[in-house]
Amino acid sequence: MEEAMKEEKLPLLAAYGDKALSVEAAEQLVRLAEDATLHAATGEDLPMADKEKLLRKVALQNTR
Amino acid sequence: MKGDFFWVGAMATILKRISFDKDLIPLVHDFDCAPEYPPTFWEEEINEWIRLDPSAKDGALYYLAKGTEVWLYANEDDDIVGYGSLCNSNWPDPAVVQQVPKLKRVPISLIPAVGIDRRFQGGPEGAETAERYSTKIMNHLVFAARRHTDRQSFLGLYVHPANEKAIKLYRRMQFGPFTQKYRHEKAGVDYVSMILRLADYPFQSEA
Repeated sequence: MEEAMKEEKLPLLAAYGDKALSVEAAEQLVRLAEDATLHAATGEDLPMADKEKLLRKVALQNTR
Repeated sequence: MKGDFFWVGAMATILKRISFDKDLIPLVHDFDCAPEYPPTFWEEEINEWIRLDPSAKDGALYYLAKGTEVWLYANEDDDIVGYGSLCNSNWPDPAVVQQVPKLKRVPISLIPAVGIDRRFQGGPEGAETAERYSTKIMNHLVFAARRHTDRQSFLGLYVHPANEKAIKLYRRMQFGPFTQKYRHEKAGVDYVSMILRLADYPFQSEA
């Protein structure tokens, strides 16, 4: 019950997500979720960049 | 050693990420994803999105404050190669859930904007497909989306139907067509959507 209430109060984020999901798309999403043969992507993390180093480089370029 | 051959494996691409914030605006001041002039509608949109003033109620800084994640990607020379972003969808709305009761009542992840600076498109030079900047950036967005275990295991995006280069990349990354459409009033066209199933994230919480 608590979980359901939490789901009801989802934050409404705009961007392109502002558009309501069509019934056809919702049905497709259910089909895709139930399709065990569908490729599932894992992706890959990247190392963190050094913020100060990036800013120093751009500052140097701007003084030239 | 003369006459000897040495096999040197393809070099792994070095790409680093940094979470975007207002301090980093100088890094994207000259960001340009349009290889030719004049830029297309979508290229201009991507160029503006990352450096737009939040008072415009659009752009990276505006949506950062609303929970969207935005990253810049830098190469080994600390040049900004591109950027990517991630938010959650506003789906599903209660009316749709009523009609499609099996639909999970949690959102999916969406990529609101992603772009590569024209200097680095197709790069690094001579890199295998898996080592291209475009692949690395998309793979990072996939990885970041998987960490949102509060969402459905799908990553979606909208793309201008004439943006063939991007559609080709998304297909290569295994995105498939999705029935959802977005009417982009300013562009005057329906953006098409694509979707990718995500593997479950193996960890419950970050250490």
